[in-house]
Amino acid sequence: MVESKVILPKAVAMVLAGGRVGELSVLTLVRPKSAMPFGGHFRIIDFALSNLMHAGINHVGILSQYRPQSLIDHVRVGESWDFVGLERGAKILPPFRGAEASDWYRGNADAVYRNLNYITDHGAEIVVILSGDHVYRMDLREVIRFHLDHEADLTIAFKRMGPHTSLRFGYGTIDDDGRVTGYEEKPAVPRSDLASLTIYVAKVQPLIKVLEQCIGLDSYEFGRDVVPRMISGHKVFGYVFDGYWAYARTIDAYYQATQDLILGRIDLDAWQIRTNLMDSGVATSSPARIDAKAEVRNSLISPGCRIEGTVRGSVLSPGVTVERGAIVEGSVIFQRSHIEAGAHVERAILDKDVLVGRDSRVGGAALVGDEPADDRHPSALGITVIGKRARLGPRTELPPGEVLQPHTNWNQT
Amino acid sequence: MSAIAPTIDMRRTLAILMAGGEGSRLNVLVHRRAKPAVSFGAIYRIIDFALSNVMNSGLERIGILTQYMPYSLADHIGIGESWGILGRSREARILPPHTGTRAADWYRGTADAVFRNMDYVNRYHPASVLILSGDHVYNMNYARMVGEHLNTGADVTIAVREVPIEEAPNFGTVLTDATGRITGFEEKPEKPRSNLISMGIYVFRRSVLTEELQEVVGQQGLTDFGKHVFPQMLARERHMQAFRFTGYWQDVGTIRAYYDAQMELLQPNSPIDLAEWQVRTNWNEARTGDRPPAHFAPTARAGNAIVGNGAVIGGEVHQSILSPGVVVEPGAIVERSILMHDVRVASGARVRDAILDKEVSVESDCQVGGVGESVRNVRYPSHLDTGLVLIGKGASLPPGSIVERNAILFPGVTLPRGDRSHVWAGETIGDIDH
Repeated sequence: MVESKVILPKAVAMVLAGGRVGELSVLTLVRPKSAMPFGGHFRIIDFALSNLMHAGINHVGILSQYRPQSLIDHVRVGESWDFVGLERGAKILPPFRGAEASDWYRGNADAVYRNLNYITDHGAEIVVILSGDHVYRMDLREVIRFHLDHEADLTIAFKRMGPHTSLRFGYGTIDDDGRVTGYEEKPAVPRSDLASLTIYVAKVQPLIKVLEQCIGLDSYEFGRDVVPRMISGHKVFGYVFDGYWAYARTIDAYYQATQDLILGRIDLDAWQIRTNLMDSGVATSSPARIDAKAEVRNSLISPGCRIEGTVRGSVLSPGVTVERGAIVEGSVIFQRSHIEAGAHVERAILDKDVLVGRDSRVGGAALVGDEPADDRHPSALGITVIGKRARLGPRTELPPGEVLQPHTNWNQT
Repeated sequence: MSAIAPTIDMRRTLAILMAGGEGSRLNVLVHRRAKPAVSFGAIYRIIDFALSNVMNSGLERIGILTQYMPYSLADHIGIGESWGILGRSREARILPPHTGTRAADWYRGTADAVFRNMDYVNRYHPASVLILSGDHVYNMNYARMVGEHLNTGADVTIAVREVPIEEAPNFGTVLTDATGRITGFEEKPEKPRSNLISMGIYVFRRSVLTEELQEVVGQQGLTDFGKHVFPQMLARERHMQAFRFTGYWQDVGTIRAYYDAQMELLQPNSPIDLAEWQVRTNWNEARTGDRPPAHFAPTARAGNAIVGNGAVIGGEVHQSILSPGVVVEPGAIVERSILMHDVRVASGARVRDAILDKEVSVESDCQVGGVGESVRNVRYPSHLDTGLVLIGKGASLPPGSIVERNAILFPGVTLPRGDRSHVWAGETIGDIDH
């Protein structure tokens, strides 16, 4: 880690952790996307929280509206990321009723505005606002230093991406000095290849002014409403990030990120990502057990797993059992799911506590090509998704690309 | 929390865990840590079995007596949070040796150690005091033992088990009548009259413990429960009761027992069931829990292995136990071995029948174990005679090194590069540096 040579001004962070997106299908019925398990015993929000910890930002507010319980259990008081002590803290900031305001959050910028006290009470000069559903390692001190060097009112982190993702991101244009000259949210044809990562560093006072301009709107978001207003009247700069970055907003993006993890493009150890061990099932696990007849290759196996069959190209969270003769290939299996003898699971994501009965078949090679995903089949890659606590009977079959709702009993053969 | 709900109120019982032992027969494994802190089963330390039993028995206060190299133990125990022994009236507390108005010595024995901490014991007015050792691998619900102790109204209850009579001279042996009342106690007798041995687990009525220690240690200056306190209690016709335990129990105080117990862990129907026993450890220690899941490369071949998280396996691993962070490179082979945290075995190296302490580095094409004559270790013939290789923490083996059977490398030893990097059967390399 590079030693900081400048004394940074007092900063607090706001993590945008609230949303549920339909594109993650049954996986976000029970949790916001930032609480999605990832890489065995981690959750996606661990990347944002660990980046903040390594940057020495000691006050972190987590804006959460959608089913916050799993986040509350996970973050607790922030002890896993050393956010506990005098002059430090992590706090979930749910919507609340006040003397005047008594609504749900009307967009992510509204969520920040309604919790301005959290920023001003700590006497912060700058606020770091970032999304909780991204997979990356970023030295946020470098971004803050960039922000200070340019005397910016707002700094936006961008990454160069192809135009095929344009409908998902905001795209900015910057001049030779790094100043943001234009910005469009989800353009059909982007004017640049710089996609916003929803990572902002802002001076507190100008930000408050612009948020106040927005409060009359039905809803207001950073990308759609705040950034354009900041550009016309304040100094907005673009910081270009060239490290690994992925997000967990669609089934396919999530699946690709887990494959990147297996390939070593995501290095949890080198990145020093921390998680809450009590929440993840690790603290109560015994070490992974690989049976004499097992075959395990190209995979990540968590504590508490018991492997008697074959596992290839997969990521297994704590407490997963793969019985003798079962095959798990190219799949992501969350905590305590159980694959019985002779079953074959291929290119699938199984949520927690799923049971796949003997000799069943789940997923497989994609039957479809590049067909656009729809509500019933959210994966263009043909990834099969099984919701929490679903049970598949013996000798059943769940075809590629299908989605099984949580708590379902599946008996089709 | 507990598999079997405690049948009695364990809040009136205070536990004292003796964790001061050096356990010198574990040789290089205890050069820099106490025996209870020695690694076991990839992620645990030996003391975790006793601590988890305490947790699963519903005990709320435990004092841990340390003396020998307590640093890794203090790190490990923390404030007891890993075993849920934490709160306003729940605590796990390390009790180091201390000076006082009368005594300013190191602990001279088990009874002396408890006697010197009677202030702590009496502070909470427990009805019973459970005295344990942190040296054994077993699963026991102490609530059953304390319950029987209260039912019989005994002054002290001693947990006992049967062993083959030829092993009895290594232990305190116990004679009982038909009701389980103890009629004789002999510490390490040459000719044992019984195959019932004391497991080093005692429940005392607190008032009796106070009186006996005052007399035996305070007045007479004697030091040991087995040698001094129990024979005198019998002579004074105290009511001493035996509590029979029939489950798995293993003193892992020798290299052979330590290795065999872990190989037993790998058996399909192992008598040691870590999940069923609900053994807990401290995952926060040394970033253990933050490490990613074990990574198996496309070239990996692993069978019958216990693998900690953060391990990276590219080569072959058979019948072995790998702690967090162990790296086995493609082309390396590990068989019938125990590799502790962050050991690295480089490509082309072969490790067989070996115990490698933390951070040992085995460079390419080394051969460790499985070669050489079957001679005992020359310097420590009683410690190492079964053909294993024992390598201390942080030792380093340059490419092509050969380490033969029954050889010992001390912690931190770096073998020279070139043709001198051959350690012969029974050889010991290194000196005690403290």
